[in-house]
Amino acid sequence: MSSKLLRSAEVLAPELAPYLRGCTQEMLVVPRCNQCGHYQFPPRSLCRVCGHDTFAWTQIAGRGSLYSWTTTHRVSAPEFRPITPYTVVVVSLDLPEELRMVGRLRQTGIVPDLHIGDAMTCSFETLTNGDVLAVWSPR
Amino acid sequence: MTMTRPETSVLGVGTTQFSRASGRSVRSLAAAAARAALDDAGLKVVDVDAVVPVGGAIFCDDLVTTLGINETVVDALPPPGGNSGVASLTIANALLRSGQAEVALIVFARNGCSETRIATRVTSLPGQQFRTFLERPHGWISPAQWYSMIARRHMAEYGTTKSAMAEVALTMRAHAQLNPAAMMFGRPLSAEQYAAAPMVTEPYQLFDCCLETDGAVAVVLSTRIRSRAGDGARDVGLLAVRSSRPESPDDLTNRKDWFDVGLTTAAALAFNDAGVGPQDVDTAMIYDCFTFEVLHQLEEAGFCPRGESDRFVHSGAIRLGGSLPVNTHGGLLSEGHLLGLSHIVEAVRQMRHEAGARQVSSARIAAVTGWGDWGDGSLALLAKSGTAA
Repeated sequence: MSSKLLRSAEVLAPELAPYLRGCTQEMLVVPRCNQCGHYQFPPRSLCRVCGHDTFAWTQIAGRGSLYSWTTTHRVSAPEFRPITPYTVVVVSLDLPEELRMVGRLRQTGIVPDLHIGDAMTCSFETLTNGDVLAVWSPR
Repeated sequence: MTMTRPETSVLGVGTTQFSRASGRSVRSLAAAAARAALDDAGLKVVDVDAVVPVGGAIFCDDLVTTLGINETVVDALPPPGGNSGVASLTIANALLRSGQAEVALIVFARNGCSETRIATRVTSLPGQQFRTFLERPHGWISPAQWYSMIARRHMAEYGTTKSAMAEVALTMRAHAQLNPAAMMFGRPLSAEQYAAAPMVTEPYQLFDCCLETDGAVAVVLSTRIRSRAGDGARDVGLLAVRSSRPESPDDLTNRKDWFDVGLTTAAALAFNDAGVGPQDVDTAMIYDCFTFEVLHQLEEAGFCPRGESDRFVHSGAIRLGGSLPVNTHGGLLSEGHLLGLSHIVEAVRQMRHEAGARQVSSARIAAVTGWGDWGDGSLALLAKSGTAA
């Protein structure tokens, strides 16, 4: 099944598409500037550090530490009501430079006892609509 | 203390009723608030030569025919978001001080409860590609969720407590009991009720979140001063206003320092422009979309050091009678959500000494902050007539 999210990004936000394509292949990829070598996230059309405009998409290990989180119990958007309560985390990736990603905590039916700094690991969750999300769990 | 002479003054303010269901169109609300503000200023519609519509639900053209505004009027739109109330002052001030206009009308109107729920506004914010493709799929979609993430981080780094957030909510509600125009007037809130309220998104419970409101607010600024006509006591000087952004304004996740926001730089600039410091401010209207945002902004505006807002509010500082009464009208949390323009109205009433039971005695300088969209921020400093050196 193909990801509608990816197809939509290819048209509306091409600079994000390689990341989403990586998710469909269960790979975490981020852009690395071809000029200055800095990783950047979220992907932008120009390098945040040097302004260069080409990048090498690089696979990274899906590991990091918990930077912050919120567990949502009430939400206005109807598509998320069936999964409440759910937790959204910001993870600081294990890389030589500070890079963070936002993602849902993988749901296990147990509300985890989270602490900032907890070691986290990435996995991939395929939704019923075919989209694939990079989600996180304590490791 | 030395101060520069204010060149722009707030001459008039006007509001409609704040309600859950106005039963009126946004255009009708805007026109009513604009008329009230012009009456308050002692000016006529034909005097208006600049219009700054705020909030995205109302435009200058909606008012030209209804109010009879001159077709040649200059109009300018601040960007959307909660910072736009105070940011509208920067635009009006620039038009006035450059000589392009003499009388500027700022107007906000929205049926924010009955018509367009405030949460739907997020689809008009900058950085939509990040919202749509990186955040929304995970269910990270609302301001309460974005800001709770910052609150959690602050709690971990500085030991900030839920009890400090409660103090903000209870203070705003107590102040609203002195404001008959507040939506929560006559509806006091106890610590027990606060603690028992449903969880929205941790650490925010129901009463950590602002109201949704139908209503309109208008503010009239001018470089004319009424004191020449013997009625200057109600003019309120705009000592300074500055607006700024955090280092990555379209993305929170990869902002290097989550606490270094637009207000951090805007406040330093505004205090410098005005030649006063945080210690000279008698009352502050802080953009209170959620309780933690008040704590965060007290720190970044310089009213207390970073990390010490918990102790500051627990000292009683932000209550009437404290060292810095905050949101004496009840704020977005208990008066109503008018995108912060109502904070300017309350600051003006305090500087005119027309705030009735909630008047801060002998107040001469008021600060107003704006906050929105992951950290855009602003600070305005208003002064009682005759305060300028």
